[in-house]
Formats: sequence, structure tokens, C-alpha cells
Amino acid sequence: MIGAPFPVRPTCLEIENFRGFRGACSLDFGQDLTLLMGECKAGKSSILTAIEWCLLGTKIVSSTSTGIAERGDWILANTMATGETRVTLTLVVEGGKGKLTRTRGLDAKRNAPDQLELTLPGEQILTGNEVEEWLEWTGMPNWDTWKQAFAQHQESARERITDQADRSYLIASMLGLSDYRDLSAMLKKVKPKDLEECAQETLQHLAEDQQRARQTPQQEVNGIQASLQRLNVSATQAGDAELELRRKALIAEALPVGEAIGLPAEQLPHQDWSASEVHTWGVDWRSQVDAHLTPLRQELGDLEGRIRSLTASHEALNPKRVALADARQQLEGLRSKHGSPQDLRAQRETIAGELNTLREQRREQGELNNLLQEALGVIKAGGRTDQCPVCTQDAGGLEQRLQEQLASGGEDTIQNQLDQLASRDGALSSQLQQLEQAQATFQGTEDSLASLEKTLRGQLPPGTQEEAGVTELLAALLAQKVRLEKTINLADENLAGMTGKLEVFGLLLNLRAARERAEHRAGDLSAMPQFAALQDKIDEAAGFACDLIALENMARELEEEQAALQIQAVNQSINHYMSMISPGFEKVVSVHQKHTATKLIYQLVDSEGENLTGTLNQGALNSLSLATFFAGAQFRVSQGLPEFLVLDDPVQSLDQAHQEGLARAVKEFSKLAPVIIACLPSHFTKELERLKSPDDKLCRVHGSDPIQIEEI
Amino acid sequence: MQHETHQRLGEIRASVGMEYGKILQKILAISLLETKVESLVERSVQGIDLEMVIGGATCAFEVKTSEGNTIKLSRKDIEGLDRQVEAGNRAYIVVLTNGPLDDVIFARYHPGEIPAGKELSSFFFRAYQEPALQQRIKSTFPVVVDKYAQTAVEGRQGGLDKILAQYAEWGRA
Repeated sequence: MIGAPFPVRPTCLEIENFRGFRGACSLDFGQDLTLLMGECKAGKSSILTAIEWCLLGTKIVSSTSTGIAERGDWILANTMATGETRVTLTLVVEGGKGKLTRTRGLDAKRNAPDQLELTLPGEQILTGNEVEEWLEWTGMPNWDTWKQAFAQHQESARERITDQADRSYLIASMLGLSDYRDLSAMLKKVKPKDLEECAQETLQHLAEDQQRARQTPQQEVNGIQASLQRLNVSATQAGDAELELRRKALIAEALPVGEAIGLPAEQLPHQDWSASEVHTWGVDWRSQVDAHLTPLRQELGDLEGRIRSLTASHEALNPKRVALADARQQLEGLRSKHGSPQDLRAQRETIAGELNTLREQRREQGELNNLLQEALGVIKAGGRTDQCPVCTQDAGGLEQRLQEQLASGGEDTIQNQLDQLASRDGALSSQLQQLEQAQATFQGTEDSLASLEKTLRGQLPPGTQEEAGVTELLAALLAQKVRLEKTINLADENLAGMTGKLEVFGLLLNLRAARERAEHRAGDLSAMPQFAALQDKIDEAAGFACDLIALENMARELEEEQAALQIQAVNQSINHYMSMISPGFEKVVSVHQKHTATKLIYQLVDSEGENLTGTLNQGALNSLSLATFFAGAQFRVSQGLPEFLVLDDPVQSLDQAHQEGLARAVKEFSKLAPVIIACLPSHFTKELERLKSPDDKLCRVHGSDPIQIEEI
Repeated sequence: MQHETHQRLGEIRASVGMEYGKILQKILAISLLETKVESLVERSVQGIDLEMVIGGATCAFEVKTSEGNTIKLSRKDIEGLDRQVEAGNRAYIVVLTNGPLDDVIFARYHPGEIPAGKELSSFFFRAYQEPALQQRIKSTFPVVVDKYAQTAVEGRQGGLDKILAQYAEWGRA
């Protein structure tokens, strides 16, 4: 434990907006004793908890195991307050006075951090963690020491001696064993057993791995042999000589294929490669060959297309030429027979003119015939066929002449002429159609032939004769095709065979390796340097674990020794205070050290060795609680550590004699360190009033709003 | 430990049952004798199984074997070892547990550091092991196990005693 350079103690308390305190209020402590006396709800406890809050902050209202459970929902701020909550504790420190101030904002949330500030002599100001560190450095209380040797709270007083862990911790503190116990606790946290379990687990896994590694090769051998059997290959082929032959054969077969399809040298197997290297290469062989064969197959397809196209173009040319000659002959025959289309069209125009003339003549003849018919009608109507019905002149034979005229009118002749002309025009039209059709056939054939000739010309080298060029080109293309087909066939045949050969080769290689593993007992970890290194590490861990155990034992032994040195003094101190507080108590209290499997625990027993806490009445239990509390605080004082007692209503279950005894004990202790007490008016307070000295301060606390403190 | 050695020991253990501790003690004795010691004596007193003199120094061995990975020393074992230390000898607990990778551990005994009646794992004894002694039998122990496994199975302790009797440095007390 860090020794305090100066025993810090509080001299004054300033409270603002804290619980029952609305606005600001201050209280100077007495040099030795400060008594706050008042009825219930007067605010006495709030003053004490203000000290506690100022020193320890949210720990006192935390609902965790470090806090006081009943204060889980404890409200810090005054409910009517309009400003922040602030408590300042003036401390006597080395070189003068310091002010420790804890502040909480008006709207601060429950778990929000407080502002903590410490002003030291020389205007040195510390804040936050600096203050916490300063408090630790000076040996001011932390939550544990506060509970054990500073504050006697009515909520937790009895737990201090009735709870085994608290009691043991309290007594161990009194015996000056905190450091040893802290060391033991720390060593226990390291858990050497974990190291052991980890090492055992690691070795166990390795042993299992080794077991598997040993079993696997033979299973592998059996599996590979079965696979070879399915391929009708004898397992005897896994010998070195046989594998060498296969290796060479694979390379020999692959090289010409690779060269033929243009594989780069790095993709070809080397003669000096080992069997494993050849097998590794073989895994990618198919894909590499396929990759190079794809463009070759494409090229072959293109080549075949060209040959088909050239042949087709060439073969179509002669029939087209014959057809063109036929078309020309037919066209010329028609022309010589019928004339040219222009002639025919001119003849048709002439006929069309004649037809028009004839049609005009036929119309006029029709009109004449109509007149003659009308004249005949008139004549017949007049009754005299020899006299003109108009001028009555003699017109003998008129009717007959009219009849003759009508009969010889010429209409039929004209019609005949018209029919003849139409017939002739039809013939001319047919001839013209024949001529145009022959012309079109000829033209189409000529165009088609020109196109074929152009296509063929495009395929032939420039300047070559058609027939010779075609022949030469076809020969070249066919030769190229044969070469390509040969290469592709070679590669295909190789792939077809190589796949099986590589599979067998791989199986044989694996069989040889598996046999070697099985034969050479692979997996014996004990021979591996890595295993030796692991063993060294485990040895180091074992050494470390043993050192930890030894340290733990040593801490325990030292604790025992230290306890033996202090136990008498502590017993005296407890019994001294017990005799003061409980004058009629007849038993002698002793601290008893008990060994358990893992630690030392401390109990309070009577002279018979019986556990005291289980048999005492409430008053005696409270008295014992107070006596051990004083003894613990006295131990701190003896160590030069800061100490001041804060007692909240310490007289519970105590009769007048016990209360007066407690007052005397308090008075005596206050000479060692300041004591601040809150209590109802009682025999205890009366006795303290009676014992009051100038260094004491007795106050009455009134619970009106705001709380008022009045010095008695 | 080599796999073959572990297998052999497993075969011996399966055959000899309760005698395994004594059998192993004799195999260890042969392994030590193979390393040219000045003398090696088998003791029948509690707490000590073998006493070896090497380089003028006396080493006392309490041999402990286990089917699991822990061993337990009785109060008498501890007292016997304490007496050896008081007599100025080097006392060792020779531990051989049954893990496939466990080796023979020669753990130096320091009075007060090893509790009696408590199951202690081989891991615990690693902290006290003496590499020089372990190195001494590293090569001979596997050979001896392999060589005399059949003798141990068929001839038991008597068979191994006959082998031990062939060494001039061997004695019984």
C-alpha cells in the first residue's frame, strides 16, 4: 500500500443543491469530533452522504455490487434546485488546505460523469482522473476501505461482521494483509490451471492428428489400388522403373503435339522433369491443348468454307455461260423473225391509227343508215313510194334505191376491217412480249454470269487466269486443309489417350507416395523439430505455472506470517473497544485464521473457539460491529494513513449503557482521528455533550427547507 | 515419445496389468544401465525405487506410472523422497503417463513443493524436469522397450531381472 506523505483530513463541508439542501450551506468540522444531532428527516444523513459523494462519486449510488443496494435509485440533486449540485470538502493537506469539489449539472443523466476538481496550496488545480490519482496517492479511501474503515452506515454495518467475505476482508485489512490478499487474488486470476489444460489439449489434438496421419496412408494405398484395378492396371506398375518408362512416354507423346499446335516452350514438358513434375504438368495439358486447338479448328472451318465457295463459284460458271448463249440465240431468232421491238411498236402505232379511222367511218355509216331508215319510214308513211313526200316530185324507185342504199351501206365491211386490224395488233403485241421476255432472260443471265465471274475473280490471286487460278488455289487450300486436319487429329488422338495415361500415371505416383508414407511411419511427431519446439514452449508454460503456484503459496505463507504478527494487536484493539461499548460483555473476542483449499479466511471467535457472530444478540452484534470498525480505523491510523470516521446513527439496538460506552469510545478515538457523527438525540448524544471538549463541535440540524445547521 | 515405443508400452501394459509399474521400472533400469552408470540398485523401501550413482553423486528415483495423465504421490512416497534429500542425495520422481506424445519425465524433487495425495498432471512435473537425465535415456529407452517387450510380456519381472543381472553395475537391496 502506498504510504501517505501526510495524513489528509477534512475540515469543512460546503453543500449546494444536494438532496435536502436547497441553495448553499456550509459546515466547519470540529478538530476531533463533529456531532450532527436532529430528528428524523432533519437532513443529518444527507450531510454524511455529501461527504461520501464528494469523495467517491457515483459509486455510492451505483446499483452494482460496489454500491449500497438500497441506494440504487438514490436521487442526488435537490428536487427544487434550479442550479447544479455541488459539494466541496476542504481538506488539510501538506502545505495548507485543499478544496475537493464534485459537481453535477442540473440536467445530468444518472450515469453521466461528475466534474471533479481539486485546488491545492499554491493554486495548483487538478481535475478528473488527476484528482482520482491524487486521492489514491494520499491513501484517501476507495470504496472498499471506505466501507471497512471510514463509514459506519446503518444499512451495511452488520454485514461487516456477519457476511463471511466482508468480515474476512475487514479483519485481513486490520491485520495489514491487504497487499498479500490482493496478490493472491491477482495470481488466482492468472489461473495456472488454464495453462495446464491448454497444454494438455494441444498435446491431445496432436496425438489425434498423429493417429490419423498414421492410419491414413494405408487406407490411401488400398483406395488407390482399387482404383487401378478398375482401370485394369497392376499395382506393380508403381515401381520406379515402370514410372520412369511412363514418364518418358508421356513426354515423348506430348512434345510433337505441342510443337504441332504451337504450344510455347514453357507449356511443354522437359525431359529432365521428375515424375511428379510431369504429373503436375499433365493436369493442365488438356486445357492447354484445347486452348490452342480451338483457333485451329476455327481455321479449318474457314478453309473448308473457302474451298466450298470456290468450287461452287467455279462449277456454276459454265452452265451460266451456256444459258446466256441460249438466251442470246433465242433473242436474236425472235428479232430476226419479228423485227426489233421498235419496229413492232411502230407497226402497232400504225394499226392503232387505222383502227381509229375505221371506227370513225363506222360511226358515220351508222348515222347515214339511220337517215336512210328514217327516209324509208317517211316514204312508207306517205303511201306513195314513187313520189318525194317533201316536194312531191317524181321519185320513182326511191324506196327501192333507199333499200339498196341501206343494203349496200358498208358497215359490215368496216367491221371486218376493224376485226382484221385488231387481230393483227394482238399478234404484234404477242411478238413484242416474247421479245421483251427473251431480252429480260438474256439480261438476267448476263448479270448473273458477271456476278459469278466477279466472285470467282475475287477469290483468285490477281493476274491469274481463271481456270488455272482456280485449279492452283483449290490445290493450295486442300493441301492446307489436309495439314490442319492432320494436326488436329494428332492432338485429339493424343488427348484421348493422354487423359487415361495421366490418370493412371497419377494413381501410380500416389500409390508410390502412399506406400512410402505407410512404410516410413510418417506422422511420428516426436521426431519433428517443430514438436521439440512445442515441447519447449509447454515446458516454459509449466515452469511459469509452477512459479505462479509457488508465488501464490508464498503470498499465503507471508499472509499467515503477517497475520501472526498482527493478530495479537488486533485482538487487543477489538476487545478494548468492545469493553468500552459493551461494558458487560464477558467474552473475549479473538481473530481466528482458517485455512481453506484455496485461501485463508478470518473469523471472530470466543475463547472457546466458537464463532461469535452466530450467537450474539442484536446489541452485542452491533457493539462488535462498531468495535471491529474502530479497530480497523485505528490500524490505518497506526500505519500513518488518512483516517476519519463517519458514523450514521450508530446507536441502533444499543441501550443506555451501550450508548454511553459508545460515546466514550468515540470520544477516545476522536483523539486519534476526526469523527463525524449523525444521530438522533439520545443517551449517546447526551454523553457526548457531557464529554465535549473545545476541539469538538456539536450541531443541531433542522429539517425545514432549506436545512439549517445550528451549533450548540 | 516415438509412436512405436508408445505402442510397445501399450502392448506390455495390456499384457502385464498391475505389474506394469514394476516392469517399466526395470525397463528404465536397463535403459539407464545402457548409459554406463557407476551403479544402479533396486530398492524395496517406500519412496524409492531405484538408486543410481553417477559421477560420484547418488540419485534416488521414485517411479510413477499412470493410465491417465496424472499421478499421485502418497505421504510415504513424499517422506521417502524427503529422507533422500536429507541424506544429501538428489531425489527424482520419474513420471510416465499414458499420452501418445508423453515422454519419461525425470522431475527433481524439492521438499515441500509437491503435495501428497493430490492428483498431479505430467504438466506439473515438467517444471521440475531434468533435461540431462532425460537426454541420457532418450536413445536407449526406445531401443530397450523394443528389444525386451517380448521378454516383459512373456517373462514378466523375472524375465527382466535376468537381463538386469547381466549388468555388473546392477544390484538389489
